[in-house]
Amino acid sequence: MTAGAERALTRRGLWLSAVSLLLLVGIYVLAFAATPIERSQGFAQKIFYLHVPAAWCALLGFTVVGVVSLLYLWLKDPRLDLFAASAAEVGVIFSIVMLTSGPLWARPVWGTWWQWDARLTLTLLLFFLFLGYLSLRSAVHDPAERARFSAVVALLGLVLVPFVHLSVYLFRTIHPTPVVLKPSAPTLPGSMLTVLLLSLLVHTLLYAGLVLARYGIARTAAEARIDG
Amino acid sequence: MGDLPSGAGYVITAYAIAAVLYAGYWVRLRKSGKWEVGSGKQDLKSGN
Repeated sequence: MTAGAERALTRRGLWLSAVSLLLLVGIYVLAFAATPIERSQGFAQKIFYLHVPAAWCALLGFTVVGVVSLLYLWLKDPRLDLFAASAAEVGVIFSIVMLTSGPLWARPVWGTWWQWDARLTLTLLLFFLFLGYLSLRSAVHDPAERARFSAVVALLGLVLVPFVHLSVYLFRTIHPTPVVLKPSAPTLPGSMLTVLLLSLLVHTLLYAGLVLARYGIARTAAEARIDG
Repeated sequence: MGDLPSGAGYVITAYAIAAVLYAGYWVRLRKSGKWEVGSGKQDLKSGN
């Protein structure tokens, strides 16, 4: 890939994420103004339109990191390593949103900020695992070693992802079960489901844009290292 | 502030944190992108 192509990749990613951020403003307005106040949870339920899409992007992100890392171990293409690292960094951003919005919802609804139940604990473990992944990358200087070690850590994360998603079925937990991503039809009234699906779409676009931009920047830096 | 429904403070805080994180990360990427495209040498020591 030429320097111009990498620059175009970064620019495209920044454009996609900028448009997604503007659309996210619309999602905020819809979540506050176009959805009813839920009967049992009250106004705090509106955190749901932010928390669920952030959690979706975090888990999607860590799945992408794991799958791409597996491909790296097989093909040994350094571009795959750079893509996995970019996806992990963006996944951590979405994880922070998930891990801050969750307790802010739990405090008024459950009466406590945190419970050490299976879903919450596994999610926190996954977050720390990917913080470790990023720390490992900055600690190892040899590119081939760095790529191999971090790919193995990413595979451990990939194993953890299905446990996080299925933990509400596998263990006794107070975390609500999925309302959309489940075998049966979604169990949400019309306007709530519409806003949630739109928010999922916009968050996914934002995730894709940020990963694309981060990957373009990582490629440019890698090319500069080779040239320098 | 008496007109705000119960729980609104938690909701506003959650949405504000998300907005700051998403937009802040985007600005950081934009700055790094400009830097690296301009000089091509920015990230030589960080390894990323």
